Parts: sequence; structure tokens; C-alpha cells
Amino acid sequence: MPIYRIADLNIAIEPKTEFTERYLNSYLYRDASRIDFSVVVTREMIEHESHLIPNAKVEIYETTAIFRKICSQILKKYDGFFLHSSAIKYNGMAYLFTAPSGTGKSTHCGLWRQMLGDKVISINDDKPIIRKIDKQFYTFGNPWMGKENVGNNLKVPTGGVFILERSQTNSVEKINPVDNLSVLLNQTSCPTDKQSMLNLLSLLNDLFKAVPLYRLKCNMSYNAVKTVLSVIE
Amino acid sequence: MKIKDGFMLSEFGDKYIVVAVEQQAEKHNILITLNKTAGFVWQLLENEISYDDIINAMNNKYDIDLKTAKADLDSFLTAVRSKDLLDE
Repeated sequence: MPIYRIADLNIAIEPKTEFTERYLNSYLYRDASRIDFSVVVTREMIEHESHLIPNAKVEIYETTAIFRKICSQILKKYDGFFLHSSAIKYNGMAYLFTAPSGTGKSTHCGLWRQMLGDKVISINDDKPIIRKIDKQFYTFGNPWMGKENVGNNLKVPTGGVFILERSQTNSVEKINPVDNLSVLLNQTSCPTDKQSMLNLLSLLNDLFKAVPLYRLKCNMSYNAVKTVLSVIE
Repeated sequence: MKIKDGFMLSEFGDKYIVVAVEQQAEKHNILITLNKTAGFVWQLLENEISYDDIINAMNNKYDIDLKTAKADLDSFLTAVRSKDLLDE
């Protein structure tokens, strides 16, 4: 089985279609000397995906099933979770902008690249994975980058998380994670089993002891970027 | 009275949160935050306990008068009853 290196883990996956093979290709790891875990996609898993995401192209279900399985395993055993967000690397640190679909996370991160050029690089524009490794929280790129395929195979220490909201004017404020937990849980996969839920809450608790959480209210101007820069520089 | 099965208390920051797990997670998307006192009362209610026993435990742990303890407990019970978390 081919091995893919995702979020610092060697994962054996057997793509059943060429679509999936191409999807995962840039994370193929030919020099792997060990496997951390394997993912095998069954017909039941594909059917489950088709119920969760009806009206999608059939070829996508294998990839979403693989992602779901990887994230479930990472949460159970490898101290990590994904956050539905747009993540960029700036000044050596990862900054994540999270919000429900359609709010403008990708647009906001696009402004960063327009304004700051190669000082900014996209880590993942849809579902970056965050893992706690040796007490540090890293944000990882992965093959699941959203419709426009924006992202890079990077591992970056996490510098801040921003809950993004649309607004006429730009403002940013540090907020209390416990008061905004519902919003954050809505942007990841909420497990039903007790141990995984405990793991997720513990990771979020630890994450925000080390990393600040902000509410960013913004419009689509460069001032939105400057507003964020005012708190991270 | 006792909190229903399937709800888990977890420390988070300077408070506690309650989430639904296992079968309850399929029916509720419950998430409430509790301060330290409410978290203490919740933990007592993880086993069958009477109203008066809770009041006594609160008096022992916190330096508050009976009236305040009852007011705090009543408001807590109203909140958990409204979310259908209590078995009575």
C-alpha cells in the first residue's frame, strides 16, 4: 500500500480510483520506513459519505471518507483535529481564520497574499489539521484544500486563531474561548464517543492556553489585513 | 434528582462546559457553560441526591447564607430542567 505523510504521520492508503490517487499525490512519501496507521475505505463508508454530502460528484466520496477516517484516528490517538478555516503562514507562524462557509475566509486570506506578496504563504484554505506535538501546536497543510486547491505541504507553529465575521468596519478583539466554544465546535467534527470528545475539548483547552483567540469583524479591504497585523506584530 | 446519562462535564479555561455524548449527542447539540459553583453542583448531581443535601454541601464548601445558596441552586435547576438534563 502506498504511504502518504500527512500531519507528520505516515498513513498507508490504497486509493481505489485515479481521482483519489491524483488528489493525494503530492503527499506521497516514498522513503517511509514505518507506518503509523492504515486507512481502508469500505463500501459502507462511501455510502455514509453520500448521505452526509448528497449531490456531490461521486468521485469525491472516497476522498472525503479518507479524510474523515484520518481525522477520527488523529483525534483518538495523535492529539489533533481539523478546523474548517483558512490558514496562512506569516512571519514563521500560522494564523487561522475560521467561519461558516461563505463568510469570506478565503477572500480575506487572498487579501493577505495580494497585499504582502511572498511574505505570506497559504497552508490550507479549507481544513488544516492542528496537532499537539511535544506540547507545541502545529498547523499542517494536507490534500484537502477546498475547491480552489489552495495550500502547501507545510508544518507551522500556530500563532493565533481568528473567528471571522463580516462587518462594515474592521475591528479585532481578544475573546474568551469558553464563551465561543459552540462556534469553534461547529467548525470541526464533533465526535459522539466520549473519549474522542474529551480529547477534543482537552486539545482546544490546551490550544487556547498557548495561542490567542480573536474575533475579527471585517470588510474586504486591505485595512482588514492591517487590523490583524496590529495585534500580531 | 440526578443528571441524565450522556452528558459530560469538562473543565475548560476558568469554567466548566457540558456536552452531550454517546446517544444523547444524536438528539441534542447541547453545550452549556457553567461557572465554578454550578460545576460543583453538577458534579453532586452525577449521583442521585436530594435538594437539601445539595444545599448542605454548598454551605460546607462555600461561605454563603442559606438564602443565596437556595437562589443559586434554584436558578441552576431551572436552567438544567429547561434543557431536559435532569431525572427527577
